[in-house]
Amino acid sequence: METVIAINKCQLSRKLFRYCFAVLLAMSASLAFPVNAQQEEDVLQEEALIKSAFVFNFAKFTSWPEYTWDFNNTEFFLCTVGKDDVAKTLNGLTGELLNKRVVQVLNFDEDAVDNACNLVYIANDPSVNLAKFLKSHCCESILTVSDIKGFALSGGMIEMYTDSKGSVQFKINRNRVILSGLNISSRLLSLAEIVKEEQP
Amino acid sequence: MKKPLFRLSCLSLILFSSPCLFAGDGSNLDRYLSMSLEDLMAVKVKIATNTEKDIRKAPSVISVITQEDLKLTGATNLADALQSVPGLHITPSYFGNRPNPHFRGLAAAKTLLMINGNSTRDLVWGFGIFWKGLPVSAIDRVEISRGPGSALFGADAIAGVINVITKTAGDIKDSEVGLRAGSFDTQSAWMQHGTEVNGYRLGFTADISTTEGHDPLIESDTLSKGSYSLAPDKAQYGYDNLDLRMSVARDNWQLLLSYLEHNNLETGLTGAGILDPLTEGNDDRLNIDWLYSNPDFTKNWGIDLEARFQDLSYSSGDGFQETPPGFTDGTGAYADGQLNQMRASERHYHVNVSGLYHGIKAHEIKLGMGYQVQDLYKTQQYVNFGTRPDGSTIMAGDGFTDLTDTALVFAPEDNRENFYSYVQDIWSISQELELTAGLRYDNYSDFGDSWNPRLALVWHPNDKVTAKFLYGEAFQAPNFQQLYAETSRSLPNPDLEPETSSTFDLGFTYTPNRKVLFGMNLFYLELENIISLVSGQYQNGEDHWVSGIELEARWQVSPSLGLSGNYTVRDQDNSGFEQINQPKQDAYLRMDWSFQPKWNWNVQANWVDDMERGSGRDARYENYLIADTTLRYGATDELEFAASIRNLFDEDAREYIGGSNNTVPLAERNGFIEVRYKFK
Repeated sequence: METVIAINKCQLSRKLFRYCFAVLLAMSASLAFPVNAQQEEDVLQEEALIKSAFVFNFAKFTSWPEYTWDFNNTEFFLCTVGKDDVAKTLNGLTGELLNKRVVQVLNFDEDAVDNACNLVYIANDPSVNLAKFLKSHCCESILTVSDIKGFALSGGMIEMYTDSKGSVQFKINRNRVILSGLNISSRLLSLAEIVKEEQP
Repeated sequence: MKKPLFRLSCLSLILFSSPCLFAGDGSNLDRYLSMSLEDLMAVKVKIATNTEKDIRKAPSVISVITQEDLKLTGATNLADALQSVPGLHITPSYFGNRPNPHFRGLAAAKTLLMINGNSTRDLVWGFGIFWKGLPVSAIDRVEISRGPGSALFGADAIAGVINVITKTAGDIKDSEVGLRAGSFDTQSAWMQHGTEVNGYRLGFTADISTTEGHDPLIESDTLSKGSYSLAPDKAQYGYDNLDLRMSVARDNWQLLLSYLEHNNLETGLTGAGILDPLTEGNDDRLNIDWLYSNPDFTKNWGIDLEARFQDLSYSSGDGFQETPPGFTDGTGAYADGQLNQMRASERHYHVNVSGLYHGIKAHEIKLGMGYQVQDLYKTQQYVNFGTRPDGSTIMAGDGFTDLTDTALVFAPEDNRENFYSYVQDIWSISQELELTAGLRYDNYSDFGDSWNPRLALVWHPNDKVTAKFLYGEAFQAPNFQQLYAETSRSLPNPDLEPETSSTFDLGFTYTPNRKVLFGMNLFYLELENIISLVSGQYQNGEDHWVSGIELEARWQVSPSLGLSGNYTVRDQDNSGFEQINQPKQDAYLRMDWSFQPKWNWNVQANWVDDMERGSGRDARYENYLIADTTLRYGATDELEFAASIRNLFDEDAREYIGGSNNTVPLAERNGFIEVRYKFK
């Protein structure tokens, strides 16, 4: 009944339209205020969420050699090495579908990971020995991703970084990708900065 | 027309205010997973508060057009891309076929159009007398904010703000060259190159194009009731365009240089709607911007500094030909017609400093001030008709009279200074609720002061729902012609005050899952102190209001198929200020289908309806539907081809010539092919 009255009033004039506007605004506001107050947003957390979405997209636009799926064609193993906000947030991808495969997230503290991993995110964590990790997993069909500065130039595949305007961008070390037998789609390549290692 | 609109608006308000819709839980990660890579890469938006924000939480009604959108839809000019924005209608003017952006059914003069934060507004005409949009090859993205923006950006931001961000150093990752050829003898070539030298990031873009224009047949023009009209004949709309941009960046600073030039620009019809086959105008615009941005200047302060310079010059060449050869009045016959030659140059200097303080918990406080000088330093005018400065009549056949430096010139050589300061606080009341309050003070040396507040309450209770209430005031500065220049049709008024506006917006966004988005926005806008001609002189006059609903939706049907669209309906006061050339409702639909890995097929349609045009107008042209289709194929990582057909169904779409019942047809079916090569 209230609703009908409100509508009829609105037909009368623009003054009443503004009145309706004000009343409904007050209604919206009254709904809005009792919300439990959790204090200011954690900017780093927001960035981690964005980067996690990037990691998901990297997997989406990459194809693995067919033999990768010979033994397990139903799960996609997304692994993390070390601890940082992104590694933590990536756990939220568990259960997502990637090319009809269910994402499983595995966390590793050390620089050795399970061979089942299809993608490894290397955390910005001083306890991880990046050089050793990259050396020991060179040329395996594992997509390596990190936001460690210089990652792509030191043998990693995809490096995320924040540009001067505050947007997340990424670099791809294409030679490493080719060496590992992975295939990154042209769409992903067209959005990336392509870097070359001096001695791949 | 009014009743259904108001009924719908109130009903929508009530529905969307109901708490049931706000129920539900979702993680923030889902929000980002629902975005495309391109959207993720552009996730920061600067226009709404001048500080970076997630677009859905921004305290204004925002749309962003990305490079990907431009490519997929086959846009070749900024104007093509703007058609996709809810509530924004591009009206190509009969004079010069200029793509004028009209927000919310209002005059284009109420749109603030910026390129990299620089207003394109000149001191006399609008976006520049020979405004032709921008080539898309120069554009990184376009941020569009519907609604008022004067509390941040100052003058002219009454109905909406468009900020075009060009490709600059650091953003240009690939070197690319491209060629395009199409109907109307249109050819373009462009290149971009980005590199880094000794720690300096460098970026270059260049675009050169030429077109003969669609040259529509004008069946009758303003002179058609007499015997001198050239109609029926074609209106010539060809022009050449050159756009050069260079940027250098290092650490926190950036230097942007741009040069834009139009040549052989045919205006087709005069401002009075008379066929003018003679005029080939030209203009050039040089911009130099030095920008410094340090978000970590001290522990609690970020700082931004800007110093900008602009030089704009334009000339009507041998025209304007106000009446055709042979035209006769009481003084005799004009063998070459009545000619009105104009040249002008202006310079703008602008400095701005702002600080962002985040030393108080849950607050982001922005303080800023600036100073600008806009100097119309050269105006020249030569006419072979009308009145001499001494009051005597110019007789037909007398030759040209120089009106330069007299009271009769179309605008005086004069300048305007503007000092402003502003403050804005973004207060995160809770994780769900954010209040933005801002106030800007402007002082102009010619017409005085203007205070413009804004208030925005954004409620984001969960990942699925965002609700916004926005209020803003804005102003439009009177131009130099209105203030100072006597013309054959108008007397100036140095006592004019700015036009002002108050706008309420109520917006909702609902994303039930990552593939679907619904948006709805209601607005009510009231204009006051409108400047118009009263008994031949510019005066501040009455009020006018406009209200409307803007709806939009996006659906990612599958990874390869995306649909989006929007619909706008608006209603206006039937005061004397009603924009009768603006549609009362319009809609836009878009489909992108990547049917094979390297292919994309885009179809878009733009429908406008109820352009009433006033009494006595030809009702056949009150609406039109223009559909375009574009096919894009990435043959290799380096090589890409595209083909596009515009106005696929060859719709006879028309706009009216001001003050008459005559029409100007828009472009008939046309197309282009394009090739791009990227150096990897």
